[in-house]
Amino acid sequence: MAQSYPDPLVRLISALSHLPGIGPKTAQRIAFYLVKTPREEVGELVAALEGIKQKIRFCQVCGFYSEGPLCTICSDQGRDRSVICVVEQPQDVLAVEKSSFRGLYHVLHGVISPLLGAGPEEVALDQLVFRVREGNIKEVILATNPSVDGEATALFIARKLKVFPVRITMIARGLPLGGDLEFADEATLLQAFEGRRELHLD
Amino acid sequence: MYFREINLRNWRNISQLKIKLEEGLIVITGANAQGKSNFLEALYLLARGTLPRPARDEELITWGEELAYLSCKVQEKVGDFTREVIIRRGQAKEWRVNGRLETRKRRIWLVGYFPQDMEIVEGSPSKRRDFLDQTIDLLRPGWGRVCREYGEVLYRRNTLLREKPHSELIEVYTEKLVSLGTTLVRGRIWYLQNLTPFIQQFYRELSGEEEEIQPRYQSRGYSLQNESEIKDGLRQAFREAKAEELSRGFTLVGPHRDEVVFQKEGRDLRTFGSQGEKKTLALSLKLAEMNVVKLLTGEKVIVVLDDLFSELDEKRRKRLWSEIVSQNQVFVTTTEKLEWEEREKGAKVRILTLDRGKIYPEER
Ligand SMILES: [Zn+2]
Repeated sequence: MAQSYPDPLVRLISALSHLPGIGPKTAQRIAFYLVKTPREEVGELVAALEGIKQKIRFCQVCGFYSEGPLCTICSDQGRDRSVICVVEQPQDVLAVEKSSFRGLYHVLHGVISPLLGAGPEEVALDQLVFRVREGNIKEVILATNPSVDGEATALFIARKLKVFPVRITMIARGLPLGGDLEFADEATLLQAFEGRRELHLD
Repeated sequence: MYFREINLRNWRNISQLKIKLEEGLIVITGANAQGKSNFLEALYLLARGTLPRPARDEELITWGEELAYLSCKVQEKVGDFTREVIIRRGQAKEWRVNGRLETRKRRIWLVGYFPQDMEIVEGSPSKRRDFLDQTIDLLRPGWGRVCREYGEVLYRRNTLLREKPHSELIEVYTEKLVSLGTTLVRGRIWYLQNLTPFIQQFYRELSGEEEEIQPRYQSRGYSLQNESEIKDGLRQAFREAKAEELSRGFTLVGPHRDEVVFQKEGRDLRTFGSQGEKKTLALSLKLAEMNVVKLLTGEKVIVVLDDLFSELDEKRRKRLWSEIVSQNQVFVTTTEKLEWEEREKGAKVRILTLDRGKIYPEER
């Protein structure tokens, strides 16, 4: 019978290869590296992994990462609480933070995508409607990704919000074609925010 | 603007071809199936980014080879640049300019006539829409992006209509189609208006007839009475079509279903034209395209004419020649030995021979 790796190693390789962006080859390379790594270093990694599972959750208000019920942005009284910037994913918050924007956020945790069968129920929209209805919100900036799905999601949200007395704007679609917000450099983002336009829906 | 150098590897039946070129007329002779059309198609692809007729990668790459490589050095008014394209099976084509990945397309003004261009006159409406869209894409940066985005929105809207007819969400895609569609229709009408006087002139001159060709943009399912009301017209058409769209499960109106008709004394030439009339029209369309490009850009264009001269009679050949002689660089293929009387008139003429995929710098 042909030899294979010991079970614990096989299990590690298999677990690693489920991570996004990591194929079987990379998973093996990481696993072999970990086998040779000193115990303390591995212990640090294990603690970090457990930490995100025990301590990190999503903010109850905006959906960004947080350690408590509210994230640091929602709890920061120094920010402009009358403006909400709507983004697709938590990591997009950090991209927008590189601009001069200092308001609040709303993370959709997804995008409406007919081709993937993802309808409006797949994004955290009700919570946004609630916030706009209840809070003293003056402006909602729609900063979904500049893709066809991202833009359609923004337009759908705009329709949902048009009954409320808020200004609805969309960031300028000057970002690189197919470019995700997450990878936008600061100059492009700044332009995108300055060039945001008001949406007029008929 | 003209090609100073062409380099092809594993392109169709041409395993290796490298040639330096100058301005003027370049006649490519050789028997059938030696690679003359393949050579011109390579020039067309290098300049315009699309093929004159669709083909699969396997057909483009020489049998048994991994990839095809095409490059050209283009002389501009000031300076030059090199464009390369690498074609691998099942992968997106890799475009490079001066060795770097090409993100913003440099323009190479080239107009071509191939035998299959009869399809523009005879084929489905999409051939005529493409004829407009592909050249507008050369003239107006961003046009291709509008066309692509329209296609993507349309695809999503059709998916929704078919699988998950969420009415409010469909509205979002409808509005998007209306705004992108308005841009498309405006652009096409603008371009067709520019083409029309040239189409009419060339048709008249090539046919020797008095009757005028009337090109007309025909909208499908919405009113085009007033160009400024395209948006409202489209919107209303979508409202009216909604019930039927929901029951049939796809989008029924919009510029992706529009048509361009060419009438002569009220007769639609696509359906009722003779072969001669269709051929004259197809050639007139291409000559009109050449002139509009020249007019709007102020640039002389590169012309490639595949297997055309041998089919024309003496009179038409002379008329055609007088039209293209003022261009920078003209490529012509022919199976016959033509008497190029123009040579005696001092025009720069170079004759090349293609034989079994190899090019020879002389007549054989
Ligand atoms: Zn929060």
